[in-house]
Amino acid sequence: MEAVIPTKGVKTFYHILQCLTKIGEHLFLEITPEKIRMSTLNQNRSAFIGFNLDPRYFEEYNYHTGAESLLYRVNLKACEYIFRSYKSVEQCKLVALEDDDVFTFDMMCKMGLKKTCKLDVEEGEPLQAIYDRATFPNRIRVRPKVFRDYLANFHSTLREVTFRLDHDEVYIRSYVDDQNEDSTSLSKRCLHTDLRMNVEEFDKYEFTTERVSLTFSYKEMMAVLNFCELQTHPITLYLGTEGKPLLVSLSIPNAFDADFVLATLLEPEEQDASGSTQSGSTYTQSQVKSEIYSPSPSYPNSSISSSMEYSASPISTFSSQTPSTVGYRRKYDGFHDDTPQKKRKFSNDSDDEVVWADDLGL
Amino acid sequence: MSQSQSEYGTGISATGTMVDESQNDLFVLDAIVENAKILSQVLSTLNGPKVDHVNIEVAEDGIHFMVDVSQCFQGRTCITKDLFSRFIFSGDRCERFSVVLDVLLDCLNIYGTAATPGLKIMYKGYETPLFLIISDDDVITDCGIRAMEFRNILPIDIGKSDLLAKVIINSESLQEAFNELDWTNDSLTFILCNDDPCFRLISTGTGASCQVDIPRESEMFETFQCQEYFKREYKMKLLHPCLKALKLASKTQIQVNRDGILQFEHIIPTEDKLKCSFVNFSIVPNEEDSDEGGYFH
Repeated sequence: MEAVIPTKGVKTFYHILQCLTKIGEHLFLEITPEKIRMSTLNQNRSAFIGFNLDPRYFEEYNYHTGAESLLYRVNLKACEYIFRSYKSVEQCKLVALEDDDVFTFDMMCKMGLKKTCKLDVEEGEPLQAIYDRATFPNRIRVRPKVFRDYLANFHSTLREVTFRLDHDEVYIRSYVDDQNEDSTSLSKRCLHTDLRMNVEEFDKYEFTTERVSLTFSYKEMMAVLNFCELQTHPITLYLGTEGKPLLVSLSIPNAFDADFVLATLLEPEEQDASGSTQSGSTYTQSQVKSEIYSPSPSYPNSSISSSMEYSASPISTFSSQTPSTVGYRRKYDGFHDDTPQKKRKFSNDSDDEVVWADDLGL
Repeated sequence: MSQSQSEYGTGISATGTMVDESQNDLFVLDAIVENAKILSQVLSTLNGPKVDHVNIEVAEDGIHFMVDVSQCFQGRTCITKDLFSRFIFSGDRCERFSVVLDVLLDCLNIYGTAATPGLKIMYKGYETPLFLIISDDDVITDCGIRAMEFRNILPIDIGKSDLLAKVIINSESLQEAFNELDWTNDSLTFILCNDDPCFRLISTGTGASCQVDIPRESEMFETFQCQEYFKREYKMKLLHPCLKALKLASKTQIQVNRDGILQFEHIIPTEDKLKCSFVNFSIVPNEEDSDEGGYFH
C-alpha cells in the first residue's frame, strides 16, 4: 500500500496523531482498499478513538496487495515524534509492504530535504468498539469551540466532569470522588465549578429521555475537543443514559470521519457488606465489564472479570453497524492468563518488560 | 614576593579589590571587550558533556581557546584582536594556561544571558589567576579564576592533503536536517558521495530509524565537492555540541578526510554583523565495522 498525503493534509494528519497520542500508547492501523483506519484505546480502556481516512484524503492511494486488509500496530509516541516538524513537510508518503515488518514514512521537506523514517511494526489485531448510533437517545450537534470554551473554565487538573442533561438545560459540574480517600488535592476538595450551558448555542439539541447525568474523563474530552476545534467542523455528541458510553462524532466529507468513545461512570447502587475500598475506589463492586469483541479463534471466549475505575456497560450490546466489524474479547483475570494460546512478544522499547498480547487487552 | 603571590593566588589584593589599576604595567594581557556576550556565546558552544578544562593561549593575534574530550572530540575558537576594543599583549610569543570552562562561562554570564556587559580581561603571566572585570551599567563584578597548567594535547588534524569532501552549507538548514533525527540514539552514519543522494544522515534506534537526504541541487549548499564515496559512523553524543553552534552560525563548512575525521567550521557573526568569529570542531569516527546490517545501506 502506498498513500501520499498532500501538503494541506499533513497538518491534519499531525493533529490526528497528536490526538491519538494523548489517549493511547499504540496505534492500530487497518488498511483496506476502501480506507485507512487508525484507532487507539487508552490504558484504562475507558476511551477509544477511531479515524477512518477516505482514499480521497490522499493525493494518491494505491492498494495493490492480495490480502484483504493489512493490520499493524505501531508506537504512537514514535509516530508523533516523526511528524513533529510537520510545518516544513511538503508531502508525506506512507508505505506499507505486505511481508515487511516496517512501516515507512517518506517525507519531502523544504529545500529538497528528504526524510525517510521506518517504524518497527507488529502484527495488529483489529480494534473496534461496537456501537450503533441509532440507539443513542440524546443528541447534540454543536461547534466544538462552544463546548471547549465552557470546559476550559474548569481546573486543568480535574479528573472528571459531569454533564447533567435536561429538556432545555445542560449543566456541567466538576466531579469529585468523595469516597476516594486519596484525594488530597486541595483544589479538588475545595473548588467545585458548576456551569449552565445555553442550549441555544447548540446547532441541534435532541433530548428524549429523563434527566440524566453523565460523568466522564475531563482530560480525554478536552483532547477530543481540541482536535475537533482545529478541524472547524461541527461535531455531534451521542449521549445515552448513565453508565453507557458517550460518543463524539466528526465527519468531514472526502477526508475522514472520526468517532471518539468515552466511557461514563456508573455510580454503584450500594456498597457490598464485604466490599472494602481498594485503593480508594468503590467501583470494584460494580463488576461491570467493558468488552470489545473478537470472534478470532486464538482468543477463546471466557468469562471476564476486571475491576476498573471506569465502569462502562458493555459497549458490545449495541449491534454492529457493519457485519464484518470485529473487535476483541479478552480473557482477563487479575492480569493473569493461563490458557495456552499463541503469545507474541512485543518489545518496542528496550527498557520495557516483556508484554504479552493479552495483557494489552487486544 | 611570596606573600603577594599567594594573594594573587586567591585573587584578592591587599586593598581588598581583585586588581589594582596601578599594577597595569605588570599585565601581560590587557584587553577590553565592549560586549562580553560575543565571548560568552562563542565559548558556550565549546561546552559539552565531559568538557571540563579549556586551554587558553594568548598571543599577538588574539586569544585561542581549545577543548578536548579524550582526543575524540575537539573544539577550537579564536577571538581575534579586532573583536576587542583594546588588546595589549606585552608578553613573549604566547602565554598558555587552562581554566575550568564552566567557571569561565559562569563569570561571563554573571548578569544573565540577556545582559550585554562590558568586559576587561587581565592576566599577569604564568602561575597567576586570570582576572575579569565585568560591568553592567554601574554594577561591577571582579572575578579571579584560578589558572592551571596548559594541557599539551595533540590537535586532531584533518590534514589538507587527505581531504575527501568539502561542503559549505547554510547553518540554519543544516540544523533543520540534524533536528529531524532522533538524538536519543547512539550513533549516526554520515554518507557523502557524488551521486544523489549526495548528503545522507542515518540514525537507527530501537523501534525506529530515520534517514535524511539532501540532494545535490538543493539551495542549502553553497559548495559541494566530493572526491570519493564516504561513509562513517559517529557517536551522537560527540556530534551534539558541534551542532549547538549552528544556532548562532550563518554558514558552516564540513570537511572529511580518508581516516574519517569530520570537521565542522562555523562562521558566527557578531550582533552587528560586521565581524565574525570562527568555531572549529573535529570529531573522530567510530571504529569501522564490517557489519552492514540495518535498514539502510
